[in-house]
Amino acid sequence: MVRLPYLTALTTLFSYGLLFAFGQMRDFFRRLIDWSKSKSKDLKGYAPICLGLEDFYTRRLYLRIQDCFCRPIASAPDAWFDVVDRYSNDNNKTLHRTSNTTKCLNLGSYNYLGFAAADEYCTPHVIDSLKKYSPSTCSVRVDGGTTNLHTELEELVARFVGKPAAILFGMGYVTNSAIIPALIGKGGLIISDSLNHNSIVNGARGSGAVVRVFQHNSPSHLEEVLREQIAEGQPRTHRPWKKIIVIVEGIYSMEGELCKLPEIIAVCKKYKAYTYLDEAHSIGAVGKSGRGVCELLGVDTADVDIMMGTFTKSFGSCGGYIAASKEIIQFLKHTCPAHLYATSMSPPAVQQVISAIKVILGEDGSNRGAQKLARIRENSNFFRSELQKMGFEVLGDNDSPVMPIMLYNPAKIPAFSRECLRQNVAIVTVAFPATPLLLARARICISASHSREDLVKGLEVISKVGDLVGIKYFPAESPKLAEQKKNLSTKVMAFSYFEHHPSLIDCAYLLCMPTENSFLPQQVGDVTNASSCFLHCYSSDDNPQLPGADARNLDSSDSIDIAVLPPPSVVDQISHTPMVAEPNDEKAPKQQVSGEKKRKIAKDQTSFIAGRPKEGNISKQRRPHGGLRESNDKNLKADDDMKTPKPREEIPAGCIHVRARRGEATDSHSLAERVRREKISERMKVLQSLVPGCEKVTGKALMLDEIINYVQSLQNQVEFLSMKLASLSPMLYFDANSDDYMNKAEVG
Amino acid sequence: MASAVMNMITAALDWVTVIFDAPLARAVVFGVHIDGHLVVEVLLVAVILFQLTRKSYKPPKKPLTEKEIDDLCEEWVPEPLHPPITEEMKAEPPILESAAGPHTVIDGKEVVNFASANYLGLLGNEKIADSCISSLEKYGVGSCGPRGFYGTIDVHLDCETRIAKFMGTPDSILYSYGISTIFSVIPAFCKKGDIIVVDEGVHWGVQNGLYLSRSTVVYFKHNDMASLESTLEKLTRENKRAEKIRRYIVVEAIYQNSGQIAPLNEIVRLKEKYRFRVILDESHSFGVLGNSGRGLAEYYGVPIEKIDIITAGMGNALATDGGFCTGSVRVVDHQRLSSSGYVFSASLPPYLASAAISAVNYLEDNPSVLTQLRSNIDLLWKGLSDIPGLAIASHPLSPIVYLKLKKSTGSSKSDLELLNVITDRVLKEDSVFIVSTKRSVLDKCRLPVGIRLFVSAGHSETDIHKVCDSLRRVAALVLV
Repeated sequence: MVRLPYLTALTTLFSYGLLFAFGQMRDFFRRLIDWSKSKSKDLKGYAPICLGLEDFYTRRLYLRIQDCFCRPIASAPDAWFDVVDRYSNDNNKTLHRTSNTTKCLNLGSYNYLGFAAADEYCTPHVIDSLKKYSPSTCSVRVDGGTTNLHTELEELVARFVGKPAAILFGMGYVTNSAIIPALIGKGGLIISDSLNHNSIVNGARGSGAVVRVFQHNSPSHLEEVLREQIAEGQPRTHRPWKKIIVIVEGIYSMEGELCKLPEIIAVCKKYKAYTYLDEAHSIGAVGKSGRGVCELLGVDTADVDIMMGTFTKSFGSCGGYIAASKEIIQFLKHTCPAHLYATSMSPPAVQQVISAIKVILGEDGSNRGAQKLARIRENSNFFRSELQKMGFEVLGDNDSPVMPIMLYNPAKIPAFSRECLRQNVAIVTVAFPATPLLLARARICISASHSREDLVKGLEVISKVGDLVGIKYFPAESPKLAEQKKNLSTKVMAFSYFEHHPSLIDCAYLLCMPTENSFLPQQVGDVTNASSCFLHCYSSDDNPQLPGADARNLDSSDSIDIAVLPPPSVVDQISHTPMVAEPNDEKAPKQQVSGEKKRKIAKDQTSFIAGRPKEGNISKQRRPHGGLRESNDKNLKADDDMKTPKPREEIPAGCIHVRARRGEATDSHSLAERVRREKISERMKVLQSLVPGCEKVTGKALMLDEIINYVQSLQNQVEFLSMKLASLSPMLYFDANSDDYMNKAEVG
Repeated sequence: MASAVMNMITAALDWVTVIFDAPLARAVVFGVHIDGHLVVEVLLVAVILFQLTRKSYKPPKKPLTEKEIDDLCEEWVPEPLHPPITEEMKAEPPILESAAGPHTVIDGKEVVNFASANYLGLLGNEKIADSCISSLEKYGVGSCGPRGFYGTIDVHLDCETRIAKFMGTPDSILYSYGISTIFSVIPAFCKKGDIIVVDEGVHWGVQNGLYLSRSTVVYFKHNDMASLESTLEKLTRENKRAEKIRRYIVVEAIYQNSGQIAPLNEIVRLKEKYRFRVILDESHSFGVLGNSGRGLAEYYGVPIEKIDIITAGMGNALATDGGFCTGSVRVVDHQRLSSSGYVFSASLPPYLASAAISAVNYLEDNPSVLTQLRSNIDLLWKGLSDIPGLAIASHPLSPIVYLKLKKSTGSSKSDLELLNVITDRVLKEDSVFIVSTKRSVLDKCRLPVGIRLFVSAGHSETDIHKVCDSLRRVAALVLV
């Protein structure tokens, strides 16, 4: 599940708002022009075929970036394909094809197992079947549209997915949208995942059953919905439901996530609901022998009532199937309109699937199938982990060949797509009709036909373009930061780099301050603490915190809820990963410079776990208030000053040391976070009472400003006094100022 | 006697009054003598006031406890996923062992095939097969993606321009499956609140599209122009807002449920009179009607621009698969982003698009195939005119020749059983493959069932004589 960072959401909304405003303006002028021109007589009396806002999106938003979609290709959608060049003379309103093509790396097609291109085993069989059966049967399955091939494939599919029987359809979309109405009707309930494919949505709508939605991939919410619905029965009449079907997908095509099938099946079994699993993207692509999510997640296929899948993706053909018990299939063959009224699946396409499944099962007499399966898993996991290391916000689970990269801002859609294409990598960008408006993304589909070199080339380009477009939302490693450390004066770079997270700018900004060079690690460390409440980073000095990792922490902490990348987000883990180790060496000297100070502070810190966050906040807050101009020592002093109240606030012996985990740091519901916040506010109050005039201000930031000012003035006083003392005879005034002086002395 | 009773009652009432008045007999408040009825009235007022001050009674809302919900969940028994399997559900269709051309092989026997809508006899055409093979070698089988995401292959675009050029329309759009064409196109244009006037005999694809569009659907009598006119009249006269909402007429060129041809000239007249738009499904007329096979508009000599949206499946005359929609640029472009069957589905396998291009080329080069088809239809009509118990119910030009029972048995189910006996015997005894119309329970069409014969230009004279003779013989045995 994506959780949109506030700032990104804001900029995205702003961009769409701008586009909308300009679109409306253009519409307004268009209307004026149309009106002033002679009205077309023919259309009088007809309501416009597309009403104003209905195709507003198409006219004013989509058309501008039309060239990023529907790019024609002129070859098979294999690992590399020829993208046809297009040009436009009217700002993308119309695109013209040229005869030129560009060879591009294909990261867009659903060619998971590489059966899209001519295959040594499949293609000859397909051509034979074409010669024997012609391209079509011109008839429906129940009339003259059933050939030997169709029955053979039905048996083969049933055997492959592990169900007693199967039925074929000529199109995957129709499979869903025509089967669901046959299975369930009025008085039934369909509980559908919130991110199910449009074909399921249409099928459910067409069935006449009531449709309820559960939160994407959340078995607990599914259970909640099931309990509520069974208890309440049908709306208004309160009769019990006739039957309930829960519809989920194996791999969500726009999320790349695997379905939590075992949990969902358990819930469905408990509440006697039927399960309908759409394996459009998972069949053939995942599982040890390509049998889909059931095999991957260890679910017995007998527990899934209806298994649906398509042949478009892994098998490189077209059409879809339903696999279920013999009785259900018999019933569907008698009832399903798509079986009764639609032209049967094209025989060569049927043959392609038969051959592909035989290759996967190893029945072609080679082990190519097993190789392909191993290859796709390896390729996807490699690609996904590399993308994550680069700092992209990649959705989805391991083993899934679908990996969306979040783009968010509308301007980044064409930027990313065009720039990648320019560098000969074809990537799908997905915008509104297929995803929610705010969650635009690029989607990568990995194939078994990609070689390692292909993937590396793809990664290089994506990384480059990602930097350019600014979509590395989780800069885990951030080689840029390392660079910046070398030339510390390039502030502008830092700003552009962190434009999405102003919180990161703080950190980067500090990095760029030449004067604060030696102070850097500690500063960053503070920030880290503020965010994570973890002191692991100080547990050993030979394993220092890195700016990259810190930046990530900051990301998750700074009052913005972003989905955190890897779930086990202990800081230690991050700093141990090899990619972080590399810039480590560069940093080492600086680390040593400040090492002593740091250790000193670390010692203090370890005893006051709960007190730390406040300090982090303070050190960040201080920066814009002239703190930068001060010397490091002064900063340090100030830091320590701040700590003075803390020793008085000894943590009670029985206190629970609850630490917020990184992912939960911003989640106000987590117990740990609440405890942390309480502690912060407690100490804030103490500070408030200590500093005169502080009670009047409201708001933590202002209060901290006040405190900082106060501490600074105290420092100045001390300096002044000590100067005075030095100039005058110490014996004379010592007594008078002793209390005050002593207080400062123990701090200084 | 009566007076005695009256006296007693009066006496009793007096007593009651005295008893009531007794406690307050001499009570005078502010000069008002307080007697019994005043006391009662005051009491009544007090009770009313008391009741008024009470909160109105609401049955306490007690949400179900967890335990109760558990029990309810425990109690609930779902219906099975499918109804009990009957014998008729177990029926398996005949399995073809070769291409579904005019002659095919079933159970090792060569049969004459009247079950495939291979109107132009293009199945097994060498040229088309060659184009398919070269396409297969170049592009592979599937396109592995929806049109938006690198699933657009140059042959798709070529096919779209070819079809638009053939039909004489500005643009066209390809769908990957025949039946999904119409049920994606209708919801793309018709939304909630729009009005659709539709023939009651349309096939399931159209019905599904209508349902998904959530528009207001009004049916008119099957192929009855008077009924259409009165419906349109009623809709526009009643409705002052009619001008503001989109209005469509949806018809099929050749109804696959009856073999009738829609009188397009009349429909266009009505549409212009009442300002409706027309959505025309030409699945069975594209490549069949008109002098050069351009469909219904050509047959009636209606300019193609008058028909707003034309859809067709390519699984019939063109002997390939998929479908297309053609019309103005605006109509076509609108679908490219808002038609769910186009946006959310993998695109048509490229070899089928190549086959479509070759088929259209073939049709344009060989218009003689249409005369062949027409003469075959004529021949079949002549041969079937005297079948005992069966009557032709289709249009003389329709390549779907539709036979229905002269005397229905009363229910469409028993009719269908009877017809199935005929078709089975014709197949088994005379090796002629004909089929009855099968209806899904989800189909709302209520036209009578019948036997459908799909005539092809590839059928020879002997084939047609064979089917006529066979039907005559079997029908005489079964029906008379």
